[in-house]
Amino acid sequence: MILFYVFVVLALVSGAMVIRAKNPVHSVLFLILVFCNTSGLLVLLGLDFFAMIFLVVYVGAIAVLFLFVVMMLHIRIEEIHENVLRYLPVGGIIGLIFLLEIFLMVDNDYIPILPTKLSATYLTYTVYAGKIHSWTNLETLGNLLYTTYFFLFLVSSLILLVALIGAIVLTMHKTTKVKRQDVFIQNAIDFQNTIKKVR
Amino acid sequence: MFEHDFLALFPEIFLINATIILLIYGVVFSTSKKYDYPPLVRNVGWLGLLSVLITILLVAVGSPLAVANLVYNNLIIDNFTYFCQIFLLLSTASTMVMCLDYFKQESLNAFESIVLILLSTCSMLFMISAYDLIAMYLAIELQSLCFYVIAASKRDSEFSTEAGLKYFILGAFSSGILLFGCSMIYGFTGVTNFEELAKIFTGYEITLFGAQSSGIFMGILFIAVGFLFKITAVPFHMWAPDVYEGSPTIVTAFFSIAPKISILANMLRVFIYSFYDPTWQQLFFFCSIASMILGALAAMAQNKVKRLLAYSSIGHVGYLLIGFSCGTIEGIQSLLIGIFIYVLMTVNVFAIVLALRQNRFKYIADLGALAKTNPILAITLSITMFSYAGIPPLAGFCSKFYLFFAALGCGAYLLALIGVVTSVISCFYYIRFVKIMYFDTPKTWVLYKPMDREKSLLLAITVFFITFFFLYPSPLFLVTHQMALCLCL
Amino acid sequence: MVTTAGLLGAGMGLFVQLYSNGVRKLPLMRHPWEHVLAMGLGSAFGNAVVKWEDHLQVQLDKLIEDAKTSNNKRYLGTMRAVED
Repeated sequence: MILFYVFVVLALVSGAMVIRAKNPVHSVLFLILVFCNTSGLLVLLGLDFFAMIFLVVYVGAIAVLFLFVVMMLHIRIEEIHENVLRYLPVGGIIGLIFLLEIFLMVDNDYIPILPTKLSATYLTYTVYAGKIHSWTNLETLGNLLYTTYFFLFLVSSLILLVALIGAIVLTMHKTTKVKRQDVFIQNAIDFQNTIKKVR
Repeated sequence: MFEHDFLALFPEIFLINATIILLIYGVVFSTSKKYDYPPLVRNVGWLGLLSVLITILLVAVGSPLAVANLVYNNLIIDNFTYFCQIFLLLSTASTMVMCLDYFKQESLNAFESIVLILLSTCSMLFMISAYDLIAMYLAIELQSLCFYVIAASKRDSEFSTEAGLKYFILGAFSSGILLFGCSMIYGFTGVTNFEELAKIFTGYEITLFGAQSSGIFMGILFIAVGFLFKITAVPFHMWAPDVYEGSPTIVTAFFSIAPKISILANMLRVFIYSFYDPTWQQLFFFCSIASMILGALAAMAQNKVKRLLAYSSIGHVGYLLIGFSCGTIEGIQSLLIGIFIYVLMTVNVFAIVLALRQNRFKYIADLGALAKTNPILAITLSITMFSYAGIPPLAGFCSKFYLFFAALGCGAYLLALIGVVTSVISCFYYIRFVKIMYFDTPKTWVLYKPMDREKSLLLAITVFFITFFFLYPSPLFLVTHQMALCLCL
Repeated sequence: MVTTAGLLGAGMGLFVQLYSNGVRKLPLMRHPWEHVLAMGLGSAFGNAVVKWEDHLQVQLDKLIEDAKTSNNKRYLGTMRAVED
């Protein structure tokens, strides 16, 4: 429970710091801290796989991408001295609406339309404690992904292939003007002969 | 599993493997110094066409496997998917026939775009036979990723890059909406399989007010909006003219032919089979009216050919949605007939547009005096334009007639009325083509290169079918009737 | 075996070949063997379509009949039992 509070407080504080930080690089770093804390929360919920994926995807890919973009754009620190309170009304209203929607959704009964009028007389008592086969999330996911859902897995791999081809098609120039390195020639270069002393 | 599923999936497996082999072939040989970096577009094009044709054969031979749920209920094969797949592959093959000559003329050395066209064809096959929300979403995503890339494939043109970027952003948006809808449906029913959804939704009324669960309503709404984005129905059509104009002409042809078939087939599967309900009917009703009106009015102001064709395809989507919003067997049948004829006409028009190019055939006014320079082509174009407009003996009239008839049959008089009025209005700009060709004297006389053999054969076949369809329509009727029954029974 | 379908198909093949030559501004009867080939393919196509149509008709009738019987079983089964 203490861990939970630690993670929550850290996540909230660093979430606020994302917005408040003057330096965009700091703000992205705080964002990474938020992600780390939320993945800690996910671990506490028992969702180990999701925590892992969360870290890999958000911190490993997206946040690093943000960092690159921020560093390359080279925004000066002085430019971000705007009045924060100006955005408070609109942002506050949107936030309130969002909170309200979430409460509505949480309140809503999931799986509502299936008729579940079970009378108590038919219910029999089963000791479920003896029937538990404990599988971790990873085992379950692996078992499902490679058996029942192998088709979806294959299609996603095709999607990745298309992304790869697309990135190459859209960026590679096939003209002769482009300087390109030939891996084999570079590997074959002898270190002794690269620099020569000219007398 | 192994004796049935892989046997039934053999066409798709073959197509994927052929595509990957083609990709490797292209990558290895186009970078080889020994052969002096060959462009390979023509080779890959012909081989791709061949593999699509073989896939058609494989699908056609697979007909004894009448009805089957494959790979753990993720895909389905029945008569509907069977005919849709053959039809889709035929239209892809005709696009590939058109592109053989195009790449040579444009000196666009990108065999990758052919590989991407093949991959997206494969994804559309999966989309037609998808039987699960996740499988459907993945197939749509695969298809749209291929499309973003080939829309931007002509990199030295700013228009093409802009088209690709625009398509990417809006397409990603619509995919997000679609996925959100799917997750809502999953959240409120706990089921993603179409059959189980159909069982849940029979006898369950999703009304907007007094709903038992507004979440399901929202989910269906979001899914519908995502689909309408993809087929460019009106409130969600903004990207279509820009993307169609900007991307290379062959890609435009592909965009306006193949995905219409697959997405409409998938929509029929989702909405008629799973969520059969009057709720979405109003939505499609509205979209149908709006796209008919906009397709008719906005196309009048266009001077560029591809933009005009984009608006005309929006209008035709409106006509097809008439059949959809009827929701009756006649409606579905007329929709299927309509899309068959639409694809025929579109193949024909794009073959002509691709054939008429000295440098670039961009404005309608460039057509001037085509009647003198190439009278047969002028007659062909005017036949197609009359057919688009729906002048009686031609095929376009038949499709519109059955659509309006279906609308009258289910009591949607407003739809039929607006359809007739807008098709009269749209006659104006279709017939403008004819006027420019026959009666305008151009300032500069343009002589076009003679077209290649493949395209001329394609033109000949499509013109034959457009002109003489009304004499012998019964096979198409039987097929579409069977498909519609297959979906509804 | 000369059928109308075959003849019409042959006519279609001839039309396609003539059109294809005409639109490319070649002499109409260039390479006459191509015309013969096209006519042969066209007549095969015509015959195939007619055969296919018959096949489809049979399938469709069977489909409708099946649906009818299963519907009858579902909804009218009790009534028929009363009649008998």
